[in-house]
Amino acid sequence: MFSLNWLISALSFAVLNVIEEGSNRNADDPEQQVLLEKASRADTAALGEIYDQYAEKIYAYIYHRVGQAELAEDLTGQVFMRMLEAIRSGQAWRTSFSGWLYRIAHNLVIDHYRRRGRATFVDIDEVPPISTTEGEPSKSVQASMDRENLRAALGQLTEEQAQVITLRFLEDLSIAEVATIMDKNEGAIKALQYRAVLALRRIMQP
Amino acid sequence: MKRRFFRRPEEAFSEAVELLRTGGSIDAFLKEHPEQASELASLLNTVASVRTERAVPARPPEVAAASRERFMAAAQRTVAPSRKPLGFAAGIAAGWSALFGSFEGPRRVSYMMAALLAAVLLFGLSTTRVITAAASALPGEPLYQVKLAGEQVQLFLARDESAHQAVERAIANRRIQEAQTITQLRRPVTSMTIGGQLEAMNAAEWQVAGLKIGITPQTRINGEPEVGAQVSGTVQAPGDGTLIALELNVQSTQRQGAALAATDTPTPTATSQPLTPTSTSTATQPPATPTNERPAIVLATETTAPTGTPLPTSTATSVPTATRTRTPSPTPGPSSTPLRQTPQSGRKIGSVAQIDGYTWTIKEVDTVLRVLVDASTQWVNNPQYGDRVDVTFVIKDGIILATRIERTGGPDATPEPMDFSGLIQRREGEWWTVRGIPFRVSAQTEIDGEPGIDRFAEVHAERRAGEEIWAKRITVRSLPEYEFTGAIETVGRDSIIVRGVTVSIDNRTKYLGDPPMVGRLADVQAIQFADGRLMARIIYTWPPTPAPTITPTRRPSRTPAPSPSPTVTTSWTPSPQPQASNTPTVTPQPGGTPPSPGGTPPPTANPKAIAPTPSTAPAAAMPTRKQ
Repeated sequence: MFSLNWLISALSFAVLNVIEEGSNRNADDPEQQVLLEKASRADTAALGEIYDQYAEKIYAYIYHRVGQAELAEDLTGQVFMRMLEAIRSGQAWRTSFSGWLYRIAHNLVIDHYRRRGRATFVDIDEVPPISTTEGEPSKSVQASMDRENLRAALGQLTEEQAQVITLRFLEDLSIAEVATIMDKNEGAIKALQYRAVLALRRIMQP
Repeated sequence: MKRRFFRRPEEAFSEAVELLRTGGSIDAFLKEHPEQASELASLLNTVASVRTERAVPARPPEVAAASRERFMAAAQRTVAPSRKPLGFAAGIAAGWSALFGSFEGPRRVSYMMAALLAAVLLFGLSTTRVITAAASALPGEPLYQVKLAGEQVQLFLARDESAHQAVERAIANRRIQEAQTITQLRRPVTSMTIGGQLEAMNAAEWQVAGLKIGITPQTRINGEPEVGAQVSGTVQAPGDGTLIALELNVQSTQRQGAALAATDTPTPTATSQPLTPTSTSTATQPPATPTNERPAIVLATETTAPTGTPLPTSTATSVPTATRTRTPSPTPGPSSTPLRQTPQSGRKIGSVAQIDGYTWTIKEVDTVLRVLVDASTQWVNNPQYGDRVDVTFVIKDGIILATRIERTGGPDATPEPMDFSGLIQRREGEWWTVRGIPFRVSAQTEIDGEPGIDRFAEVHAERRAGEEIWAKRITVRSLPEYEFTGAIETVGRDSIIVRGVTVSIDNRTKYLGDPPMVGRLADVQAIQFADGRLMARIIYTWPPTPAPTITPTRRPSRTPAPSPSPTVTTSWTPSPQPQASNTPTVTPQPGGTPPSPGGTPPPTANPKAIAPTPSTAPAAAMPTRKQ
């Protein structure tokens, strides 16, 4: 009986450690896998947790691509609605969830630009208002211009180049993560990254 | 240090980028590779300038919260798909269950040996996966017992009183969350435990820690139920999103008070229950005692919201439970304990939504109260169907009896149904704007399709009192898109005619190139509404000098001019000027071509590949969709 108690105690103690642990999981985390499995079965609690984990990341990725907070919020919402739709139709992710989610975001950004006529220009109406309450106005204006210049420059790259620049240097993802998201091997991402920065330098050089 | 050689420049660059990301020494790296140092330094400078733009403006909390709420509302509506094959962890869990199940036959092996074997297998095969699976297991799932056992260990290990109570609270919260999840999933569970404060009650339903629990004649109730008391017990989930109480044990507030006093925690007073039907301040309305002749009908409030106004906590009230002597039943028996309630009173302000014999239904926004009227009910100002009323009632033996109903106003204005459609122009939290009409979207609004700025939406709404418009249903549709080129014939305030085709313009139409002028060539991108009307989204007006042999050129950009390079092109290339035909060439795109949710990227990610197709072929006067 002592052995059984000891085993259950040890097992349970480990369970509780996991229960009380934080929620910052990576894709290889078994608990994260369980969470994703539950989410794929439309478990609302799991879906809520998934949303909390990824909403800010997806928003940041989209914001970096479109440069408008309202639009980024809107597209982020659409990403998660598509996730639900995919779950409902039984066509959810099969391998990497984060890669799958970023691809949805990427496709929505592409769709957005398609609807807009693929324009890569910066419309004055769409430049976010510049806060003059923080710091020096001239610096704020310069920062805003830098941001818009970068986004416009990204618009002149190929989509893959823009994506790799965004994921690597704006979202700060690793080569392996980007490879998963873009469905390429790491060598291909390194080469793509190199060519993308070459092209970006050429565009941004005065 | 041994110098590393990179066979390809991208590898050296990748290594240098990693150093940049991780704060390594770039200088040392460049010194190691002097032949590439200049080029790498230049590229790293580009990367560094990109990385300075990483910051993203913080999402306004209310916007983020509204987005999350919409997502969760949609998630609730999501129908669970067919079950996928079990993952590894779930498979192990199922194996665990099967293993234990096999011990229940006639050739039963010693439980201890079986458990030992199972545990060894678990540790040997995939301990971590099983543990984590158990951590999120729900009642009825194979590893749920492991989770419960773990909690018992945690309780056992929490030696001092405060730690023990903290663990107990955490466990109780977990039970509530599990029950909520089970009801949301509409999953049937034969028995699960719950516990928490009794927040509201009537004969048919109790509310415990936010959970609505149905009370049936078979429910065993031990102790004297009283709003504010701690309740624990077992409930059943039939699988229809409800919970049915099997057995509920009520801990008297006196006992709670003693326990809390022992830990120096302020004892809650009997008037501090937030969801108690409030005692009325109308002292002239003594609670009427229902007679035995009254039919024993069940009248339940249908919402979790309190049906009365907030209970004043600083004044003495007529909540009778404050001075009652409570006698908890220490030995729960199988027989059902009669629900003994002294009258409680309350007040409800709302509109008379229905009068059915002696039953009046009072409705206010999303809460409904059904009350019984009888000869003792006092009528003030002749209340009628539809009127605004102020109802005072008492509850006894599960019956809500109106002691006074006062008409306070005429009927609310009937909501005016509205239907309108157009492009979604704004979405800020619950406020949307379609075709210039601002309206509100709530969690009850049904949304079909994927709403987004500039997407076409049909809105079925109602205008309520105060002129506020609330959407009841929003259907988002994809509109066909067209692109064509031609000479501008007329430029009006609301429309433009290009080669005989009238295209509407609005404040969201983008103008590129020169301002539209009669005689100039223009590329038009437009969407078509269901009535055939075209709405311009982008109009690119060509420079004045036509070039018959023009080749696609770079579109003007407001950004710093990129250095000329054959490999860098803009993403939106105007069509070449048509030569002879005056007929627009149309290049429609079917409705935005949403990507598959399966994550397959579009065939091409290069915007150049989807540029308008130059064409000089004659066509009809009206654009036609390209297949």
